[in-house]
Amino acid sequence: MMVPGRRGGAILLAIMLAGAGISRAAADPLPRVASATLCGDQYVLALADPDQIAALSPQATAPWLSLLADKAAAYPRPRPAAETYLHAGVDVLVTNAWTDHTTAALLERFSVETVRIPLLNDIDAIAAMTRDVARALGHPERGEALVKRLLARVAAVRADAPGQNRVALYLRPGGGTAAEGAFVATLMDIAGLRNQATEAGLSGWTSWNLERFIADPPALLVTSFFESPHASLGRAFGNHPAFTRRAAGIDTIAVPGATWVCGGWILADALDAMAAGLADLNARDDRP
Amino acid sequence: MTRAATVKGTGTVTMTVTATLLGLMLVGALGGLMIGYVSYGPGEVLMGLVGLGDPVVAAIVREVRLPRTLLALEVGAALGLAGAALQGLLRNPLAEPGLIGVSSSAALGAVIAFHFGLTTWASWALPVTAIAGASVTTVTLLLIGRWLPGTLPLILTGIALSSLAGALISLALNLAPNPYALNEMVLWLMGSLRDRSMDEVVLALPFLVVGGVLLLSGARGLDALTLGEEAARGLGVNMARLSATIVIGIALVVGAAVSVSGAIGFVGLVVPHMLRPFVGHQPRRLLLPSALGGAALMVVADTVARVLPTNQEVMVGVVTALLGAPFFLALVLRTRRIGP
Repeated sequence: MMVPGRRGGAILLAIMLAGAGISRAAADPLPRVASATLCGDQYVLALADPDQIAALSPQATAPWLSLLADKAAAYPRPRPAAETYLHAGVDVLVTNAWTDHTTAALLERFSVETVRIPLLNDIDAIAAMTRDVARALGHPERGEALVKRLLARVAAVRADAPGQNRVALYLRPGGGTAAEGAFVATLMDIAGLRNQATEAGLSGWTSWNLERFIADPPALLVTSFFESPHASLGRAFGNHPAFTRRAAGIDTIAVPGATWVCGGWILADALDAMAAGLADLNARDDRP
Repeated sequence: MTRAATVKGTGTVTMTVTATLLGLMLVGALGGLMIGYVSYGPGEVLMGLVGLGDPVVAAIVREVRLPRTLLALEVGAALGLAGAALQGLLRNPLAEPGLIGVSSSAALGAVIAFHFGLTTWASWALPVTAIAGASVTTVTLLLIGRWLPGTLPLILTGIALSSLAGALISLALNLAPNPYALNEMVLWLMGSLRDRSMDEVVLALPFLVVGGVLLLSGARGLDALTLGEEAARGLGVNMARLSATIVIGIALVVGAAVSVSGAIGFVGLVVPHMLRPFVGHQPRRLLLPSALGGAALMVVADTVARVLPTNQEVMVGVVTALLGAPFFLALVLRTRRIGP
């Protein structure tokens, strides 16, 4: 029985889908890559050569979700499915660790390497993941450069500690927040902020209560995804007049959601956005 | 005992039940205002309601708990009333807006308005499209009920319509496109009153009032209908007019309720069944108590949803389903025993 090899699978499929134009230069040393998820899109766009990229996720061009949305517009964004990637002659697929299990299993039978990105909340784990993805895409040196950039930003912001121990609360429009253990809380800590959710005894990705917000408003709000263009029943917290009226009187740093849509190298940009917002607040407070 | 005395006695019982339910509803509402992230005493709540005392307590009671409690009362009353009316119209004790697809069709209408931008054009588009969705399903059920009488065809048709509405909601959310599609589906199909404001209370109210008046105005006709369509016609009931009144009334109250809370199930089933032993089987005596009972049940269920010690707040539809689904099963078994 013939077990399809890494390239054999693609060739077999090319025969089956005759005329579909899926040839791939056998001499090409760099793998053809695809991403089935937003987080993977950011890695692939940052690390791979343009002619390596076979497919990105359908949301790759959503500017409020995807940091490299502009760059993504040049590439196909098919609906994620194993046959799509086999048809495109993909050698490496980057996807989430918690979804697409059957897609990944099927692709592995065709010797397509799947790189699965878990929900990472720790800077060291993110650095290791960045190196892993870069190696799989054939560009370890680019991965190293991304890691260096991230670690340098972390070190610089930690040293500067622009948060000045303000009590801050992270909020998404649905009332979701982040306490110790979630990467948003990790970045708030690096920036020198006290996290109200952590101090309230919460941990990880959790939610805040509207009554609690009214009773004990934070000194600073760190918000994300409020710019989302979609109406949602889940946004009742963020749309509630009791929240919007009070939030208008609280210092707020709106960190673009696209910079921390997942725990990846993009967090360097989230940290920059947070540090810049805090620097502005500090400058305002220092003014006589 | 003479018939007149029996009727008078039943009337007194109905009044007593109504007064009791009103009391339960008010106690439930007070509980809803007292219980939350921090619990307050009744004195603090009453001071807060009139804007006196601790400004934080007043803000929480007036801006967060009051709208939510009022909305729970509105939605519960709508679902209780609609359940009783639907059971009368279809002459079927298992008819319930959530079970037979009326609520999910209303949710479909609301999803279309909400996710395709109609609500940015006019806020009333939300209840109006939900009402349209509820109307289509109620009329379909009515027509099928006439063509194929009996419980089984009704329930099976309801399951089909409910599944269809659920599938179309999923399709609509995927077409929108909505990145929270899965979460949105759960919210629309299980229902929640979390973080609602006076905007929703005011938006639903006019439709609920008009629908409620229509349903109550059809009460005598529904009474006659319990004897069968022929007998009702013989008693001078204009069946076409009665059906239209009840269908429009149900669509208005269910549509308006679902558009602000999502589809909350089983309230319309549990409440009329719990009240029949006290007020009898005549829809006329059942409608108003069902509205009050629905309001009381919903406000208590919403308070329970808030205080359950879970990481994320439990949706109120989960609480009503936990209560209602076993109740429904028991009813099915009882119907089977009584039936042919």
